[in-house]
Amino acid sequence: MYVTWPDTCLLLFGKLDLKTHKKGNRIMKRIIFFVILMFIAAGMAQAQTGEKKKRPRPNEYGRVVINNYSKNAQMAPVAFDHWFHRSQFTCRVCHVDLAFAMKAGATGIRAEDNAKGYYCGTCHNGKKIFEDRKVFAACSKDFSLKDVQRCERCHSMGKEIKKEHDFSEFSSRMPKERFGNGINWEKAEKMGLIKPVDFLDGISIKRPGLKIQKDFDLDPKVEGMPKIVFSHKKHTVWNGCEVCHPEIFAGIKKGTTKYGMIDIMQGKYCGVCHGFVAFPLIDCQRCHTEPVE
Amino acid sequence: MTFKYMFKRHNDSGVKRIPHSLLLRRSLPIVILLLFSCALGPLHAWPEVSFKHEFEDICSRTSEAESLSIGELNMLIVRCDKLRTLIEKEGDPERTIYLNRLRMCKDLFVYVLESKKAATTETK
Repeated sequence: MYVTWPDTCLLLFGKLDLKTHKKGNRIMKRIIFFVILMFIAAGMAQAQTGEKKKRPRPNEYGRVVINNYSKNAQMAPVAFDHWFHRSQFTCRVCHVDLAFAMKAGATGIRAEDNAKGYYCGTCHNGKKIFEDRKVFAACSKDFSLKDVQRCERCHSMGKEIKKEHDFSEFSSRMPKERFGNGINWEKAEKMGLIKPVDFLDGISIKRPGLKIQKDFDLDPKVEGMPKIVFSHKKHTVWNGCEVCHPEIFAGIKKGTTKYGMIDIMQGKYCGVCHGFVAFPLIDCQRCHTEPVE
Repeated sequence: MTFKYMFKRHNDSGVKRIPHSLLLRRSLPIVILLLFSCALGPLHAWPEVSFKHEFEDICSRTSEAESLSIGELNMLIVRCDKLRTLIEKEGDPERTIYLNRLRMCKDLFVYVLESKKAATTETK
């Protein structure tokens, strides 16, 4: 007794009674077999296209790859390590005063802009003295062979370039943290181990001191999760107001901007910084700090 | 005395003598022209200086935006819009940078203004 395809189709469309038809059991088995086969195929397809995110190493955490024009200039993309710059400057200096966008590659930095003294060229001009030494000049548009070594200090993606500032040496002096760079930056500042600069001569604007903002609680969406204590004070000291408001948090009143962990994981709201540069989202206890009542 | 001597000599040599008053009147346009050119000289530098000064004056208020009144915030927003047209005339990358910075300032003022307006309607 053979099971034919027309029989299977008839069964699927309800034209064949499974109980009375002799071939019913066989047809049912065939359907189950095909359903399982489809699930396996879909799973395999998913496994081939899906990407498993590799957790970056502490020295690579916060690395931004800039590749707007490098390829055309036959240079390696720029591998910008946030860790060193954030140990020296507040977020506001670069993301407000120097107008660096919050998204990698969105600024569209060009070598000629740097040469004119904008973006990286504000400090990287070969003249500026920082910590008793000259800050190396940014790569110019027309570079010669002798400039290659200097250019490669930033255009280093995929190359084995020895960096001037050694991460392991730097991090060994810092208070430890489990994730991200493995450094508790907040604690490091409190301990006076880092003193991020908040003003650049000729670039930053002299502003009156910022009013200290009160920290506040945020209710988690998932029941049983500890409450979130948002450190408004810390965020304003490093960012000012305009980095977050209204671009990232447009809601006027507390609680009006509705977002959840999925949004944050997609790089929105807190996820603009946390997960890329600031401590990562797997470090739940850093935000969900208040004990459950 | 030198002038007198000079004119006398010129007069002696047959040149028509120019009286002092006429000399002053003739030199006046030259003096005015000179003064005017001095004033016009650094004209090309004016927009840059004024736009940066105005920019700094506006954006320095961001840190105290919360304590500003609705009227002050409105005024700052108007100033932002005026300054925007001035910056747009600049070349790149200065234009892009300062337009971005100005946008951040203006957006913050609008944000604070809206929150203040919302707070006042709530209390009513």
